[in-house]
Amino acid sequence: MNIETMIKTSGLTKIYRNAEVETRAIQDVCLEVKEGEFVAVMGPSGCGKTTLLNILGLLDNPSAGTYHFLNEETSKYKEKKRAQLRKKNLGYIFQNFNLIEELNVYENIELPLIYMGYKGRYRKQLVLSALEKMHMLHRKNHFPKQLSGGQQQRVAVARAVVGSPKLILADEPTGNLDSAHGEEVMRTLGELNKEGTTIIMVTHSQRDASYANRIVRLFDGQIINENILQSFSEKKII
Amino acid sequence: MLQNIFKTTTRFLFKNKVYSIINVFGLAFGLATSILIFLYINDELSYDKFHKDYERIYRIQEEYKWGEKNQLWATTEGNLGYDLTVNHSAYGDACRIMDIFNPPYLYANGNSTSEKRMIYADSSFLDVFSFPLIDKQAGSLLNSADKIMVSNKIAKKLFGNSKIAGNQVEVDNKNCTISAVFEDVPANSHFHFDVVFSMMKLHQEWSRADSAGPMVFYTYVKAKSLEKGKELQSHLQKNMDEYLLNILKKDSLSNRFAGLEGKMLFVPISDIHLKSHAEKELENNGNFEYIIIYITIGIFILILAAINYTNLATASSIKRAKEIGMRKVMGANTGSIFMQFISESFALVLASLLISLILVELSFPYFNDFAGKNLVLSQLLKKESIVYLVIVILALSILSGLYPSVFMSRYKTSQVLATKINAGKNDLLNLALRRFLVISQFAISIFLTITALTVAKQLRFIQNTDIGFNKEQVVVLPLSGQSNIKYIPELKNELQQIAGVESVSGSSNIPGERFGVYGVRMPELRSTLKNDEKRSDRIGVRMLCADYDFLNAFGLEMVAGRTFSKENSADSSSAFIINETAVAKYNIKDPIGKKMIFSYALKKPKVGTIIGVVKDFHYASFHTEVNPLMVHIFPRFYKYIIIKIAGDDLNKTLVEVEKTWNNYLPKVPFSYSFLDKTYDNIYTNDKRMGNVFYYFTFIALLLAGMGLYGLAAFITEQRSAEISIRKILGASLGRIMFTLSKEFTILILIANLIVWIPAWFFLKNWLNDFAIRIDLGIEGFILAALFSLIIGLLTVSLKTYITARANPVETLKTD
Repeated sequence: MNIETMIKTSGLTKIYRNAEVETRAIQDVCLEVKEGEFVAVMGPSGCGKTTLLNILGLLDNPSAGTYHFLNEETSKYKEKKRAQLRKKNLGYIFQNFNLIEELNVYENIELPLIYMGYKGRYRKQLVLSALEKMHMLHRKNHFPKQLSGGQQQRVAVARAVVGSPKLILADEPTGNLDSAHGEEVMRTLGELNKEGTTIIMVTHSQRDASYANRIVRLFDGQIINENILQSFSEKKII
Repeated sequence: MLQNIFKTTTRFLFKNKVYSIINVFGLAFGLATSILIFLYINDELSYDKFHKDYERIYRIQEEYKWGEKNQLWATTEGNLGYDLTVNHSAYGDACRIMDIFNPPYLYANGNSTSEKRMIYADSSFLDVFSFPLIDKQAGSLLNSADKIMVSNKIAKKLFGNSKIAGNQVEVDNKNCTISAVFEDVPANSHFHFDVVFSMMKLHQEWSRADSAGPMVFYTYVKAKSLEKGKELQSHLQKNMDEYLLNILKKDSLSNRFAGLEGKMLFVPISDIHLKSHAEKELENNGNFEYIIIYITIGIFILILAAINYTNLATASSIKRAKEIGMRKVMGANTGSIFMQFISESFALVLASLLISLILVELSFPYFNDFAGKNLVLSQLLKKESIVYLVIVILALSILSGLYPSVFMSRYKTSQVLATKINAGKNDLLNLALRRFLVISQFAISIFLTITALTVAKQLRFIQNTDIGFNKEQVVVLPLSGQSNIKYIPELKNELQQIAGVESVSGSSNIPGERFGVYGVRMPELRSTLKNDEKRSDRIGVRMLCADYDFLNAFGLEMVAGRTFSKENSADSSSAFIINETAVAKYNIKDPIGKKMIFSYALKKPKVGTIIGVVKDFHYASFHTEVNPLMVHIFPRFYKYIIIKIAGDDLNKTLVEVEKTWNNYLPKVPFSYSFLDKTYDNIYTNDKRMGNVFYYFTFIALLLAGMGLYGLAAFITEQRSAEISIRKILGASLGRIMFTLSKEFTILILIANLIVWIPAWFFLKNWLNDFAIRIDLGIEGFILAALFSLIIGLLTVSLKTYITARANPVETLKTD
């Protein structure tokens, strides 16, 4: 079975400079992620997890190193080019949900489809099916403030998957949720992964990480080890 | 996409009501002000453009310069217009107009009327001007002495309808035929009149009207083409140059007029209202400088409103950062974010436009009142108004939306989505710009405040300074016609019997009106002028023709000699009184008893002596010094009866006066005015400007306050964590407010310093227009500084109070 490499980085480094201080957020990170994988990135606060995720998610460029996304070297891409890639291939889930407060559930989920240039009727079809999948259909006219944290995150997940992205990036998706709601979101992510979506997730929680097939540990901006929880190919066979 | 942006925007605006209200109303006030200014200026610029081919119509004026003197007249002598018609008709049509000094009453159909403005005009009147006719007789309209044209207003007053051409009307005891009825003269004409008499009538009274003589004719010409107009002007200039050369050759006058130069000016008719300020203008003209000032202020106010928008929009951008970030994550590019915020500002400007139109409509009654206009909203439907609105809306949208749009579209996605958003810190330039905007806003408002305070002080000064005569309880009755003058002696006697009447006098003028300039001769002056023995003994004085009782009626004082007295029978034919300025200016030593000769329009000159010197009084406005004045008894020029009332029951006295009037002059309408009211009218323009400045100052301060509130909101929001930490460490509310207000105090003080010098120069210049004026002290500047600080600090305190009072735990949690 031939499994494609989705992400390959080498020597990935990000340096933040202030007037006097230079901070190396990540340093010399080499990582490879194959299609269909579920990778958890773990590490203490300030170890560079979010920085790594931002770069992998094409929200930011590295200071040094290369980043191949779907066989394209993107590390020098300008924002416009990155935006193109993002909207075709990526979905994001954040710890604080980042729903737009002025838009209701339906409109929030519809937003990426608008930027992708889909027609109105097709959008409706996709949004409704995403809502159904998240069991949020009855809430489609509510505004984010009217929902519980778990519900908000489910909307955010729906928004992340509605355009059928190849890769979902999740930044502590359960960080703001109680355990029951957290469990629910993780189950959803697990199902998405089973259906073939690649997921990279930053987390503090060992339990959340157990949904992944691989854990990458970061410390002071460097990868210190990788454990394979579950053989990826095994899982596929199952 | 647009729909989505629209939804987000409207929901954001509804959610942040304070923000939206400040923005929309700020813009609406700015727009409303600019619309009013536009309509006002548009109206001012429309003067006399209703005449067909107005570009080719000129008023011919003469300007003379010699030595230190400069004389610019709106009028010419009578021979010029005559010569143009007889000898130069190839260049175009010419028409003379003469203002009737003492407009007569009209009586017909049992009704009578008297109007303030009546003119004589050549029969070419309607060849030059376009005053539409409602009704007319066949043939020439002004070709005989008994033909008159009347306005629609008069036709309706006398006959109740407009179609009355051919009817007879009694004018000043003589019968005339109404040859035409014209539409009432529009407000945007530089001269107004209700009756036009034929120049032939003037000929009957004064056979030399077509010859050289006094400069009392307004001469207009409608050139056949612009080139013909230029040719005619250079032709007339050549004639004038030759004429002046001849004058200078005459030995006796050569010294007096050394360096004499003359200019024939062709003033385009559409320029007269705003740009002509010659001696003897037909009406008080507008002022082009004020137009420039108003345009500047209008632009300033719009800039203020745009600055507010920019300020508030960038300040609130922290709140929108997440939305922008999310949009970018999902594929929106810089361009689409930019478009989103530009369209948002466009939408807000459009909404403000609607509100501003309501504001404009509501303010019309007040605005029209103090601007002396008759503006209506429908004027905005005219082509030029629509062009103006479109331009202003686009400009305002771009001006206000540009910076926030660029600012927000540049947000870095990764930064925006970080849990902590510190939108302000990323951009020191941004904060510096915002400070600059607040300084500019305050500078503009402080400038206007200083101006308003100084204008108010000068106007108060005018009100309170002794004008040298008593204008209270003086009633002015217009005589309405030469023929009534003969009744004055009897009428006076009767009026004096009425209880409450203190004194009665005939008069040619009332203070506040223009007093004509005349030349008189004083043979004895010739020898007293040492340097220049050949100098003429003619002196120029303004003239008041008055009665025995004028001193009492106007409440004047004598400083030397005596006033007219009935006991001296010679006083009515050979006595003159002059004022202090005349004595000083012409260096008349021991004026009492000196000989004086007045010969204007007289077959036999009036020779007399000076019997007294009257204390200077301000018969003209404070814009000019008191000019030399001569007073004599000369009933031919009487135009008014002046009654000084002493009693308490003014109304009862007036009823009696009316009764007496109607006994003697049953056909002449009784009308009266109070001297204090008419005198105050000379400051209408100044008061108007004062009002405009008060209003603009108010709007500017309001907008600046809003802008400051925006900046305060931005800064306190940015520093909310710092404020909470300070509070946790034990800082009091007052202490925190002090910390936060410090910066604004500095900004406002800088704004004050910046405007002091331009404000000083502007006001110095404005005050120079007044011959009698206040000193430009520093108290206006200091008051404006205090005022701006108080307003500024109140605004900032309000915002910081709200922030500083918040529970620190809440703030830190969300931060």
